[in-house]
Amino acid sequence: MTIPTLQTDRLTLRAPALADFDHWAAFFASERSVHERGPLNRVDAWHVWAADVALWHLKGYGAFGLEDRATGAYLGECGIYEPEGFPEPELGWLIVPDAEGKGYVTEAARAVMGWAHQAFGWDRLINIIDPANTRSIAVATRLGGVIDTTIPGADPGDAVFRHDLGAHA
Amino acid sequence: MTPRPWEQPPEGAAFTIAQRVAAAVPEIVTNRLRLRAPRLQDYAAYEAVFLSERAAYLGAAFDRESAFADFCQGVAGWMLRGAGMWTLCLKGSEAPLGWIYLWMEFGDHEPELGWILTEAAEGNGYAVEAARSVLPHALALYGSGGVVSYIDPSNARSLRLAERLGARLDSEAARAFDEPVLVYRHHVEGIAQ
Repeated sequence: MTIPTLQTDRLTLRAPALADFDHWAAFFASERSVHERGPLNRVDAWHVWAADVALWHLKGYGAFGLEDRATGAYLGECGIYEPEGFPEPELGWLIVPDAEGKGYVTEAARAVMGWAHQAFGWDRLINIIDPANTRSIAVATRLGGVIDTTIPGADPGDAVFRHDLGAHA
Repeated sequence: MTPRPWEQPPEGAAFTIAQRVAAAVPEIVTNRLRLRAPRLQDYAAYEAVFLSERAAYLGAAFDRESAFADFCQGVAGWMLRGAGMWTLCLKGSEAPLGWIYLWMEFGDHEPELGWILTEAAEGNGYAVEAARSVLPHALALYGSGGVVSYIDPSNARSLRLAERLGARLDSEAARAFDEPVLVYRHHVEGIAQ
């Protein structure tokens, strides 16, 4: 398998592994997933997650599992998502509750954007965000994203942020 | 039909990465057939089968969304468990005749060997030839008796196929399910048949 591994100051971004699913399912079982089409029961969460994993095989890109470089602890996911119904590949993330508020998502997303620009020559990645998800909107803004009303979202009313990847190369 | 960008095959560097990831799928060649890594180009045929009567024995009815999820689940298995779904073709052709599974669907209790053919491919002995070619791989991974086929009791064709593979009915294992299902357990003796 040749899914790349990316390193940042504090994080390792690596291929998804089966053990990651429990964290994913826990997120989607909770109210925290309300902005991500959740909550979902475990079987529905499995199908969403398995399709995200399959993206690597089918499309050559996907989401990375995030690990603490120092301890190896699982912190969440960040990478490229393109589930059924999306207009184009999306930059996305998920962080476990204990790892929130430490800037991990920003750090990982910058690495993913740099990689996507370098590996594929992509000029942009979008975020599709529920307008009520203030936390993700703050992250998208911190990453330099701007709202682009010309790009369709996935659900009615979605806020779509555009990131210029050249800025992260 | 509206364009479905998520079903469009990759190009360039993304194609190269996809190909390398897909290379984890062992290719199996038999007298007439080739079992290869699934790719997005196969999905239209997959959806056609799963939205047809041919999927009647597979539990819940499928729609476009759940057919795609099922396809992806078969693909993801290779990365997550080292086993998953093959696309079945005639040697020298890329057109899918069907799909062979060595996987665990959500809720399965054990690894499963499964199969489904397109309508056009039916009646040529392709499923038995393909499933038999996967048995050594399955038993090497999970051990003799470590892989089963879950079959709807009214699916006479698949029941016959399981018998031809030398699999043995395990009525004890079937009791663990709420819905009626027959569990056929595969053994190393099946390879010799």
